[in-house]
Amino acid sequence: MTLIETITVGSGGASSIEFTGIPGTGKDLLILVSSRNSSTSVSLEYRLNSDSTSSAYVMKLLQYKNGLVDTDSITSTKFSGVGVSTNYTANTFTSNAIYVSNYAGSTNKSVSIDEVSENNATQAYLRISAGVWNNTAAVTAFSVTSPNLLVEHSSASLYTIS
Amino acid sequence: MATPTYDLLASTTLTSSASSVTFNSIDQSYGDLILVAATDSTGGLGIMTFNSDTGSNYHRVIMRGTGSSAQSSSETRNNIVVNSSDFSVSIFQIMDYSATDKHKAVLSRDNRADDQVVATASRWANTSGITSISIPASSGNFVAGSTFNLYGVAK
Repeated sequence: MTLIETITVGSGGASSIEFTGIPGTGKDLLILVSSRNSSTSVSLEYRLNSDSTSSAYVMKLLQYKNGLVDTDSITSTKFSGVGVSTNYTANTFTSNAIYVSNYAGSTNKSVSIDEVSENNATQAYLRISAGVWNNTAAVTAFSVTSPNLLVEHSSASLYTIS
Repeated sequence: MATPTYDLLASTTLTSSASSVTFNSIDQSYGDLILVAATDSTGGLGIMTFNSDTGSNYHRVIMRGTGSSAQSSSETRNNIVVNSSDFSVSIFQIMDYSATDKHKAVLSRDNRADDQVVATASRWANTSGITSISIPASSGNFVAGSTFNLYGVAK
């Protein structure tokens, strides 16, 4: 497992973290995210190769959500992720792990996502997701986007697994 | 602090359909194994066994989300299930696989975006070190392009 790059959000925040020019030398990708939103939203968005095509991303998820367990199917313009909002305890950030298999291959890309937004309160998420990006292109870019801003000290690290 | 390692021990990419994939003579010097299987098969499932043990020695607890139903269950099987459809990805972490004084614990995540997301904790009720892993298709074949990558995580 090789660290390709870590990006940390600076003062003033940023709407997204984006990795570009991902080398095609690995078998799989692992992206680890630690983030906090500047708004009351508990959402994050993940995109591959900046693709926002309708129905490009398909997911099944299972989650603990604010004291309840539920499941959902999502077809969207992005993979939906778990964020931390301004309503959460100060200084708490998400932990998100996104695993992309055969990212340089020529089949649709299957993705495994594990996420948590712990809050020392009922309001919290623990989510596992299965995803597929309906695109056969090699993955050369990956982005994490907040509906508003990712606050300072949010970060993401990209690893290749060879 | 020591640098953690994540070493590729073996890799198989099917160039034509095959009924089974096996890793033999697994290096016993690592702490854990990670198996990543991105597969498609005519039967929709693979079944994994250790050291050719096909007895009812695999116990598991499972939670599953289908999009409409959240489920949990437990059972005893004679294998470990590997989802295999539309190049779904399954990731298995096999803890302390080379130990000879404990049953083997396996944490896994099965991902089929068209069908279900699954998290499983399994136990192979055997104290032997794991020296081989066999993954036959439950029926039919794995299709060409299916990949099986086995990694060792250093102690």
